Amino acid sequence: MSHPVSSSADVAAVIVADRGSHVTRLRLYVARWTPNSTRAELNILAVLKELDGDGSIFNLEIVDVFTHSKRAIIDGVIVTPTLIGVRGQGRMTMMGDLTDAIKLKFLLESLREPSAE
Amino acid sequence: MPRRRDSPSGSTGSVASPVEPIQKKATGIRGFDEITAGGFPAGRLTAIIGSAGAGKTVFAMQTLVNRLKQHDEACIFVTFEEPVDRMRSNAASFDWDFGAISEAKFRFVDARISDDAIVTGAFDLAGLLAGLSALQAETGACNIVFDGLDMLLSSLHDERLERQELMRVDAWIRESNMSALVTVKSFGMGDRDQIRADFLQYLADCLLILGGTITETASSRTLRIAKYRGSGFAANPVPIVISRSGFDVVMFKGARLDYPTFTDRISSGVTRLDALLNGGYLRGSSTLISGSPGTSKTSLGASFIAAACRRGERALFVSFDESGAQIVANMKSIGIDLKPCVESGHLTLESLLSSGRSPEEHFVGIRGLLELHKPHCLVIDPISSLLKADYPFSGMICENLLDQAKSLGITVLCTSLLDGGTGGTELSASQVSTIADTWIHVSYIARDGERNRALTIIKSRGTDHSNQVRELVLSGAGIDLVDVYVVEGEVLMGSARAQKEAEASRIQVLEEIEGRRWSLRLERELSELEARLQAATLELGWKRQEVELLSISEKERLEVGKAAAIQRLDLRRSSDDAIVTLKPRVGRKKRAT
Repeated sequence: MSHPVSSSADVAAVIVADRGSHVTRLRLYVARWTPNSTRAELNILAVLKELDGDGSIFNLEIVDVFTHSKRAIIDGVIVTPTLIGVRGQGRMTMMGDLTDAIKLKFLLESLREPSAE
Repeated sequence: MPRRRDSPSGSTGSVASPVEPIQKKATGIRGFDEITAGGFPAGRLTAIIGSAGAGKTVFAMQTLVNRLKQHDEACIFVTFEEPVDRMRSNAASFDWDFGAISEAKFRFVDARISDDAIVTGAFDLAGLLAGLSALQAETGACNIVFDGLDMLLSSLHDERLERQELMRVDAWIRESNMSALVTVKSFGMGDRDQIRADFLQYLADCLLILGGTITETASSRTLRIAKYRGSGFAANPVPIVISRSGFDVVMFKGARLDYPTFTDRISSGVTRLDALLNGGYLRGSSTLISGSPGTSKTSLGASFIAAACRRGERALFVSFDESGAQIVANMKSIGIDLKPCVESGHLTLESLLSSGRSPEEHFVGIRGLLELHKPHCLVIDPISSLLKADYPFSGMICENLLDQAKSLGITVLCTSLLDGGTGGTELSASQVSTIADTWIHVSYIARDGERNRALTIIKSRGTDHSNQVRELVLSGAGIDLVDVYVVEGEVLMGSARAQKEAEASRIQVLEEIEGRRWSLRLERELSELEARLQAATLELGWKRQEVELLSISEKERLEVGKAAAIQRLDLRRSSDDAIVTLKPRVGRKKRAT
């Protein structure tokens, strides 16, 4: 779990940050301590460690819907866990506990591609 | 092991905590609160299952709108299927004045899963429910709708997970004390839908099934309460209508109410019909006029309406498949002028197309008209337009309509066409005839190459009415009823009646002449007899006089004769005395004695 995880911020600030950054931003919405969310956290951290050990490519933020419930609604999050990946204008939504590591890797790689911008 | 009453544990002394009965919230949807005796369960889950277009969303949204408008209860509408702007637009299409509703108190939550969202394993609804908890805390909402929850559940692709999430939703509803309406698409979409519906049936405290009957030419929407924990309910499917006012449950009353009662009679517009009905139709009653096409049913209705308008009452004429202008023109031709009634605002003519809508839709429309115009008199021409065989509720709809009018104290006259299939019998309108207070039947009698109209009062509750058949005659002066002739058990009408009348008149004249002739003859005979009597009397007098004269002369003659005889005798004796003077006069003595 060496990948840096930022704390939850105000949603407006996040959106502004999304637009200006060339870093691929990832937001994982979780319902803390529920089985699906816990599995998702572990799965994303494991994949990121493999893909981006120093945290230069992906900026992961984990948002607990129990404490930031309003933000989840504004960000269009219906189910937990939901992973939202944003790079420039590109956006990708993944629902589920991210069990399929190969699929997750593929999706994250594709989000890095310039075509996604 | 049997419990002991005198248990040393002391449990017998404990008092059970008071159990609250189920609380209900009125939906404000017409008819629904009546059939559920109060509405949907408060703080619990109500599931609404139905196929697409059955009215699930309308029911749910209308309930929220009504709770907000009538009870100032904030609400949340979670949509899993349709975008929020479309939901708003749909709501604005009804006459709920949705635009005036505060967005702060009616919150939409778009819970549609994005089309490009990728499923990468198991998920749950905790995120949504957490968001909804936050919204509830912010708005104070106590009512919530989950519209099209099956859309989200089906993306789980797992039966067990679906059940788990449904239970999560149910638990959240109870914890948050929200009164929830969950709409789910109907059975028949596959095994999965059936399993989901079955589970929801178990989970929900109240289960509403929206369905319908579809035939080749007709479809009727229905609502059925399949389950209602802790409450009695009407289990039969009831017809529903979705109109501009929204969802409408056409409720059937379990019992007749005490209607306003009247004793005054109002004119049918036909004087002789009023006479047959002991003064006219009873106010607040319903009358059915049945008959074949063209038997003047509409004219009798128009006549009744025109009479009502002349009295200054408001009237509503609901006509199926015939325009108002056409009715006014047709009635004018038989001397019933409805135009001034319309112009004065006393009469409202409403023309509907019978085939365009189901009977229940027409019912809701007519009920709206009754509430809008508040008429004293109502004509439905013909009510048989609502009695359609392919609609399952048509009979009940007609009954409901008359019931509705009666409860408002409206005097109703409805006409009814006879069905072709009944072979001209008077049974086709039996559904209505049983509830109508008065039933008048107008039939055609074909004879001698012509058809004439015969009017009979089949029944008239609480009214002393005539049992006589009358001929109904239409002319430029209006409607009239005339007596019919019965000859050898057959009723004569039309020209046969006219011929009979002329014949009767001719015979009467002849009889009068014959009578006078006979009288004259008798008078003459009397005079002759009197004359003869007089002559006889005179002759009698003469004869008597003659007899008298005869008697006198005879007497004279006898007297004279006697005197002469005595004289002669005396003469003879004097001569005898001269001859025999010595003989005693014995003989003379004897003659003297």
